[in-house]
Amino acid sequence: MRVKVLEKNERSIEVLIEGISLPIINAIRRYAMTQVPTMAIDEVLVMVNTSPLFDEILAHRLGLIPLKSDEALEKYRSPEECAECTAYARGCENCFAYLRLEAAAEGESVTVYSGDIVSDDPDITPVYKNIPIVTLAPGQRLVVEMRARLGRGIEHIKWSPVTVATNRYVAKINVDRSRCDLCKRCIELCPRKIFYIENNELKVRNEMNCILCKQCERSCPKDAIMLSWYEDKYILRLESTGVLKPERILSESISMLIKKLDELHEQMNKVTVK
Amino acid sequence: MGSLSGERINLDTNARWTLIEVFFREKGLVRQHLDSYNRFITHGIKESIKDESIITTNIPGLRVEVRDIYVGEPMVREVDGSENRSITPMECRLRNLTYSAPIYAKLVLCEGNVCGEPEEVVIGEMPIMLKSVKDRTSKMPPDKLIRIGEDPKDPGGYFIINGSERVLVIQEDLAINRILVDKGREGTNITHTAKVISATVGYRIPIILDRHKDGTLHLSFPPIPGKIPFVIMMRALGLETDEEIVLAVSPDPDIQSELLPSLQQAQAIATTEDALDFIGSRVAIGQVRESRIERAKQLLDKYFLPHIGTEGTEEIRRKKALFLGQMACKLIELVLGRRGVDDKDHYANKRLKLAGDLLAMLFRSAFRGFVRDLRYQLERSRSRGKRVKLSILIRSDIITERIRHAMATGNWVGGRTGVSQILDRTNWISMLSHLRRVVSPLSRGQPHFEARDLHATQWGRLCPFETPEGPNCGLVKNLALMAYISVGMDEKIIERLLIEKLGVMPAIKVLEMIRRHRIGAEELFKYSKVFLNGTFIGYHRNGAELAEKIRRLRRKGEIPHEVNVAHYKTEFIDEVYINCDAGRIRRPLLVLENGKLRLTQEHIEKLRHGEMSFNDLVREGVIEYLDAEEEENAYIALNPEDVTPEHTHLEIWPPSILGIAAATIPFAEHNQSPRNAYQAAMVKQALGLYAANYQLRMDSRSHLLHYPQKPLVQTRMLDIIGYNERPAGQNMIVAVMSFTGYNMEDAIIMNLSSVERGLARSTFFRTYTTEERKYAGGLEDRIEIPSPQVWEYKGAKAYELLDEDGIVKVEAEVKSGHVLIGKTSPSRFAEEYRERGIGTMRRKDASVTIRHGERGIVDSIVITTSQEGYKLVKVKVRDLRVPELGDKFASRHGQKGVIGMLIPQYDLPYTAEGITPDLIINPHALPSRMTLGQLMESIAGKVAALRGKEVDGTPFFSEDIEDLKKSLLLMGYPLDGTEPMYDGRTGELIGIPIFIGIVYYQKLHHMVADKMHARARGPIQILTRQPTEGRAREGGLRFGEMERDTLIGHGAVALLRERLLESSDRTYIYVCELCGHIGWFNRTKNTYECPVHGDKGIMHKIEVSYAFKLLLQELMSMLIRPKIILGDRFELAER
Ligand code: SF4
Ligand code: SF4
Repeated sequence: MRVKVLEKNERSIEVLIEGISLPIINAIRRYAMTQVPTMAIDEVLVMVNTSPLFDEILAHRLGLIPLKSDEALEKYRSPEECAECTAYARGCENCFAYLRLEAAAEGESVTVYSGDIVSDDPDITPVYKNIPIVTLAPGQRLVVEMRARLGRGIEHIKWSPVTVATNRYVAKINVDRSRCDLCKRCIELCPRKIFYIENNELKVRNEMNCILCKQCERSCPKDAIMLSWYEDKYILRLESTGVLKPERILSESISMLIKKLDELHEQMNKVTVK
Repeated sequence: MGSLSGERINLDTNARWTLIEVFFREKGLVRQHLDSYNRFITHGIKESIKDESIITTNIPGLRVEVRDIYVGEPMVREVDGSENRSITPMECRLRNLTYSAPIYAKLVLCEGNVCGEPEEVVIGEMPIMLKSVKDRTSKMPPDKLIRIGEDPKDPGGYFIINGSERVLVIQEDLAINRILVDKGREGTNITHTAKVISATVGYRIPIILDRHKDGTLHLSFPPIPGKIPFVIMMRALGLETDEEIVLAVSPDPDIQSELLPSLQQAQAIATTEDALDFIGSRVAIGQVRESRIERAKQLLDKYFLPHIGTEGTEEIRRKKALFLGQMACKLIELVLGRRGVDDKDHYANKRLKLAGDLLAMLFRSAFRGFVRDLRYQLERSRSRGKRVKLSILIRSDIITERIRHAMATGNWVGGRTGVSQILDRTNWISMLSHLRRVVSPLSRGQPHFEARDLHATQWGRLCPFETPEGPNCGLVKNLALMAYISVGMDEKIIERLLIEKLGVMPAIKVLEMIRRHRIGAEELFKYSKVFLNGTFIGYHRNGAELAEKIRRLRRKGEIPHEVNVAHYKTEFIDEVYINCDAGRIRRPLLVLENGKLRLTQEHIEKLRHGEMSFNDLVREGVIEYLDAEEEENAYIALNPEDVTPEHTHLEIWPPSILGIAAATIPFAEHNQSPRNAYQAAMVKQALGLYAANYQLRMDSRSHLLHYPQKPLVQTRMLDIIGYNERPAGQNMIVAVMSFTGYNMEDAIIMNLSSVERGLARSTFFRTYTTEERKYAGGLEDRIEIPSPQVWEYKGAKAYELLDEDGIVKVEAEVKSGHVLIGKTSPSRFAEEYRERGIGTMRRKDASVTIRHGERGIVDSIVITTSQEGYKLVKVKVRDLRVPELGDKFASRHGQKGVIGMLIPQYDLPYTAEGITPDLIINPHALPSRMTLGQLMESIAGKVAALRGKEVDGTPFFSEDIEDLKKSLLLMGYPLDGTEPMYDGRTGELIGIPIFIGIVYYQKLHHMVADKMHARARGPIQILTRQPTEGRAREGGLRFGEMERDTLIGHGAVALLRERLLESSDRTYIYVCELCGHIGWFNRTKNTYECPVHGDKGIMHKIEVSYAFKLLLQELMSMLIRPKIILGDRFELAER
């Protein structure tokens, strides 16, 4: 097995994984989207809202604001634990982070941004300060209290830490040079500029960039191009919403998967040993 | 001629577009209604009372003169009598008031030669059209409009009647005063027929001239029963000799000889007197000759061709005879095959009636009612010997009520219905399109195939796509973008101009000259006939020259631009038609002279800098408006590159043949035509931002899309329509594939995660209204929390959300069963109770509850007073509508479908970059529908998103699709719009690249939440005892005939019986075995009784359907005796 990081920055990570089968990688991808817990505003108590947005639209907008969740994973209980807790309805510090938003416009209209949200827990704050929530016209006022909790993407997409999660194939491009008559059709049609001509020969570069769109294969008049892909080589890419670091999402996702499998293993043992 | 003549101009798309922009900046989209109304309110109202300006009474000498009449400022009279002059349209909408202004009249009471002082009195109220000259809001700047609660972009053109917005829909009509010839119907005695509808202010009289099989001509017109021979009519009108009559028809001997049978037929009646007597004897039966003649004269003057004149002078009668002669001439020309039948569907023969014309009709009839009443009041008060004072006798509510009633119900004078309609406020486009709708009076029950077909003359006048499907197809139409309707001008002025300046010889004079043999009759062959607004006025030596001259003068601005002229010349026919009447659809075109545009680059520059207006171009003759008639003489080039020296005009902007709704379709020219028609219908059902003041408005139902977007693929027209500011849809990423198959049969798969992120969310509003009325006898409604003692108390739970004032709290969550406004009414029989001296009577619950099956949150409440001074409460309830299974969506290419499945993002296919579609449509939706426009939009939308700038998809002038594909390739995507995709469930590459791009989708207002319904048991109808119908009444689901047939087919007797009897209206009746009558149970005697045999009857209990019992009783009420013969259910076997 071999893993190579192709790209890594604040918001995204791309790794080339060799020697693992597709279903496992896809499971990791799906776990990143659906199982890695994050914080998001779940309940909104509207005290005053004279803004043009109705309470339900406002609540929906607030819910979609990404909150920093790096610390939250340790600090707060998991959604399943909270759901079983008898104190859930009342709301306790172990499950909920409390936030507040107050704004009013006098004289001139004011746009309320995510940065205006005040949080009781300094670790749980909006990732971006410049998400507009609502514009208040003169005389309009907004006072809301919010509760954020951990949740999973499978419940509602607002808890999903990633916006994009893909795994793709790595292409194998085979040019039958004996057939190719250098008509350049493939060069014209390839969106990723994979082909070029050198020394009167069609060459291939950056195979990894090929998206397997088959334009070349389909358009070649001589059937000189054969597309295929590696069976054990995949590129996994995650783009974070900002709530968690991309590498954290990846490792959380894998450990969640392992945990689930461990659980399954245990259960299986119990059942089969009996 | 342009100031810099000869300069070549580069008339590219942008330059042409400049013209359009200027046109709309100046005229707006509802100019037709505003112009028409403005003309009525400033001039028309004065003209319409000219006939009745002196109100005479049967008391000799006593009369009232109407000196002047005019409309004041918008105002509402409150209950306390005060005048609310600061009324705004929004206040009218909220308080259920009528936005109207008083009509003032200056009346003078005269007796003999003595006239009193003029008195200014209010004679009624006139509804004010929004944004017309009389409406204050038409002059307000946007910030002021916002302050008074108006949408600053609102186009106006509608009225507010009792709080609801109403449009006077444009009515299409056959042109008046024009002779139309046609073949007679098969199987009748009539071979050919000529028809004219003669109309003038207040009258509308059809006159028909038929040619019978024997060659005689006969005339029929309504006041006179039966047909009158043509020649007798001519004699009655003053042409006594055969020669005169024949000459009035035509100087051509061929045509004249066709008149022989008619002349022979009328030989017996040789003088005018005799002819009048002949006509008079038809109506004044049994009277003396003198009064018969008198009566006939009256009829002819007043009702025969009234548009020529109603004064009984010799000259007018001669003119009428001449007109009739022309009718005969045209008819005989048809008989001789010199001309074809007239095309009734040619738009030159159609006129549109706009709000102003319709109101004028209404006002005239209301004013007549007012005059009648005033006359009666005058006579009565005089006969009582009182001093007459006008201001006391005036009853202003007659006019007010007549106008308001017609506008509130749509029932117009002349028996037309549906003239006024509630303005469709579903979205911005639906509103605008409603204001530009044209309705034909033809009955929708009959086929009328030709009338429904698209006629070539509708090009540029009416939208070829926007018409409903079904019974109204082709009868309800919509104006094209550049269509402009003539307001009309005084034809007397034009007639004078033609005769005095342009060398038209009046017909009467010409005939006179021929009679005196000053010119020979043959001379006339060379002349052209000149018609003004359909009426023959005279001859001209050279028709072509006349037409040319008129056009030249018009382009110089010496003749008003409203005048249109057409010259028809064939081997036999040489006629010039000049039109200046109201209601012609005209369209602007660029004038070409010798293949050169009169438009110059300088004009374009000036237009762009606002130094010149569209009207200036018209005045300079650079652009002219053509009606359908004049277009017959024009040769119009579509594009500058097509121009040849023969061309007379150049189209300004070919896409302007479309109407407002069809203008929303990008790449429309690539779609199959019916698809565009479907989109034109569906765009009016899309949810969006219907008005910027939606929060203040209290529409009885409305929808609001939460995140409406400007389409990425634009058409240029969207800007001028205002769609980009009030959009109704969202740009969605659409993949074409079957995926799970849950999108078969036009369903769509939607991305659940996108929905969770807010895609296509909308809010539904419904307003509930009630009024606290006061009744006679001091009884009144009360808005309060009803006490448990009232009748029909709904139980404490229903009222739990009410505040002490009896109205729900704002932001309360309400659902079925909840009361929104608690109200109690006096019992219906309260009067009787009081008479009997029963002091305490139970009040009745009249609370307003939320509709069955609906739910929501109370959004806002308005408490105000209505015009009658009653307390008026309106409660607006909103309901969040998140897309769910079964909600309907449509693209802009007539591709509609309902959500078949919501799939979360992690299961959906993704591209190499991780893009997941918002929507997946099935590939089967495309080949048979041939909506290539959608595929192009998909690619164009993708390009627009990638390059960060909208793509122009204007029909005929769109960005080149090949260029778009190339830029797609340059930005790293396959050029055909496909992309390889991976299945989100397995992570595997899908075998075939998937076509994916961005398409603008509309959420339509058919939502599952409004329709979902089921019932087990529930209410029944009182009359039939069958379950009620419809969701709002918690009705049952219909088990219809076809369903019944299937059960019969299967022989499922028990089920059939259960459905149709036991679960429906089973009942038991008692039937007497002896007489077969239905009897009853007498509780006091504890016996069953028969109506015939009393307690001697032998009664049997029978199970029947209640509807059957009802049928029996209905038969009895019609004196039919139904008899039920009873038998044993199981025959006992013999033996
Ligand atoms: S499959 Fe597409 S991206 Fe890959 S080489 Fe061929 S054309 Fe280029
Ligand atoms: S399209 Fe085929 S033949 Fe043409 S250059 Fe490419 S590989 Fe060679």
